[in-house]
Amino acid sequence: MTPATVFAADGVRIRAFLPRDLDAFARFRADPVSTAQAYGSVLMPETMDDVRRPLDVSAANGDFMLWAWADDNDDAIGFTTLSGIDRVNRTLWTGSAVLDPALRGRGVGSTGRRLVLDCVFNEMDFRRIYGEFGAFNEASRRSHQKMGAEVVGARRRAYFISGRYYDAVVYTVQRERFNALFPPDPDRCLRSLSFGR
Amino acid sequence: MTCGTVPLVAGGVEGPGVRERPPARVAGAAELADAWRDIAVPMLTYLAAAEWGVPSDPRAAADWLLADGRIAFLHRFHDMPVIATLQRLRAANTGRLAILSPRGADIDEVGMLLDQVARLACADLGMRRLEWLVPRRWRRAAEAAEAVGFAEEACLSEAWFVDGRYEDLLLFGLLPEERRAP
Repeated sequence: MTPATVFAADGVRIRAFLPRDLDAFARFRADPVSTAQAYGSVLMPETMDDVRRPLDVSAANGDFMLWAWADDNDDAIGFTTLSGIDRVNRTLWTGSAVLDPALRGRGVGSTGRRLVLDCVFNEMDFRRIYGEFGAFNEASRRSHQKMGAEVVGARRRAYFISGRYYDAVVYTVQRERFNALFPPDPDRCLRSLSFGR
Repeated sequence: MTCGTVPLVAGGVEGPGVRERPPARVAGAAELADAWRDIAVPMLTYLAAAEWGVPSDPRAAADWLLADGRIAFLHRFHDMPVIATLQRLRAANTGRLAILSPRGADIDEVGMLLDQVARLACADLGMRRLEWLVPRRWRRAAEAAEAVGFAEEACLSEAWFVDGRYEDLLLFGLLPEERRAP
């Protein structure tokens, strides 16, 4: 059984993205405000097959994963994509969002991101992650800064929303920096074993 | 241009103006696959770091380079194969490129190749943004990028493991109005 301390904190639990999460995901992707913030563009109307595609890609493609953030009722309240998973150089790109606009601004996003980064760095042995957010998205900037993110530049005019171009701010989080902020418990998965201690 | 060989064009693009550039012809998957035998291993870790998921298998790599809206130019300089490839990204009218050879893009001819791809992207295909990930150690590539009008937009620190250590990748971005002939 998976130790809860690796994947859960403060009422948020990281788990696989399940087919029953698709309705909440579809509502998120149909909301232009949510997608403008998360993807840097408004998504055009989609069928459920379109919405399901990231789940199919996640299952079929080794360099992409989709994880859900679940609440105490095991309902999906957010998600993280791990893309460009580079097992050679030990880096990947992350993107994440809170599904329900009503839950934003309450720390859910920061909790979900922290759990994901802890897992990526300290259980999957990645060294560094990269990501980006719209230059207009101050909430995202603050949340990433809490994780130890360092801004490393900006993709100019990468996003196009409602007739205007916006820069995408590029950031990185280094494992050592993250672990200095959120020290992992090295015994969390082995505490119940003796190994002669 | 220092080569005496004929650049090849894969992907069948012959838009307005393209025919006026260096001699070009459509290359088949077999030619790309043959070139890939020399390129795949030296470029393995760079391709991983730069998120180019080209398969190692030559035939699969050739198919990949000709699929999903990608355009690949195949050149030979002093018998060294060089692939310059352009991919349209999901974001509207943006693209990315890669120049791949056994020596990466750190070659004398990189400026000519970059000019060709940048012109195709911006002047012919109407892309509003083009980007390229260049290892910091590829000095000729970075200089060529700046000569064509690319700006260094970001530094992906320690993204590439090479020669026993991690090195930076520089993200270069080109906007059409900034493009210039080198």
